[in-house]
Amino acid sequence: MIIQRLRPNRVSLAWAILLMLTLISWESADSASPARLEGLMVIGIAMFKVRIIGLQFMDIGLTPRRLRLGFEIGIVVVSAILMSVYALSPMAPR
Amino acid sequence: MIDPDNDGNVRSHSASHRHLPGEPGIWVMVFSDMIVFSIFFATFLAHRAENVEIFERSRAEMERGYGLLNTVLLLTSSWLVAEAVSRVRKEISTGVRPMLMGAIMCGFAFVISKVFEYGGKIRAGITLNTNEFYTFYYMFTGIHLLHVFIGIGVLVFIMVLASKERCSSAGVSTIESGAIFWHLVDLLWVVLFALLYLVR
Repeated sequence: MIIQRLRPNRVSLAWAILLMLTLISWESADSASPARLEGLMVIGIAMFKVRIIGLQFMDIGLTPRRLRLGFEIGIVVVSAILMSVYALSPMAPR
Repeated sequence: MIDPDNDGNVRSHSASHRHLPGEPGIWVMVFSDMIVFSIFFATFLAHRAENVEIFERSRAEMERGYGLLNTVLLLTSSWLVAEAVSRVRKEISTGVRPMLMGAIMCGFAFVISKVFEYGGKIRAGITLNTNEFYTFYYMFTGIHLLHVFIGIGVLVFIMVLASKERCSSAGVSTIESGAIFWHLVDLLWVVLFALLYLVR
């Protein structure tokens, strides 16, 4: 019972994870790692954050399966499109 | 069996425990908006591919601190709204109004931050017509800001609704709908932040 009370609820946990992912993205923006890899990571993290907001804040995770499936497929499709367009673009000179 | 809110109330995964929060119409609106913005995002990246040097130079000039602040504000406001809705569903009135007020304050803080950010750029001579990146920047963030204004109005409305002693099931559905719209505002910003401030 005490352990259950100490555990954060799923919404608070989702918020903490979203903040952490935000900081990771923010820190990566000007690091020395290859820009292309970081760009793909930043887009990937953003779409994963969209998923968390949808499932945990909007409660899409508790909706009828078709809605959830549509949302998940949509995220995969949009992620693939954005990452592909970005990956195929030329790199900016440093 | 699951206890999604970690509150001791377990639920099964069965279809009988799945429900559509809010009104069906809000989901049509939300998914339509997501599709439109997805097209915006892809269009932005496609134009970026044709003019990488200008886009990257402009992105590098962006004050990422504003972007981070705005993201934290909207994520926090969404968290407060989600917690408030959870309490409304359980017919717990304690804390609902302060949480929704907190979310509204975060929304206002976002608007003020945007005013400062736009002001700084305009004073530096950076406007909608400076280059293609900034055309996208002002357009997309402007449309998003319109969503924020509408969302703040919606939050005020649902805060008033939630303040009533007993919330009917229709009232709960309306509150859920309002919350879903606000989460959309947050969700759209998350991608805008990545594309306009971070992706290089």
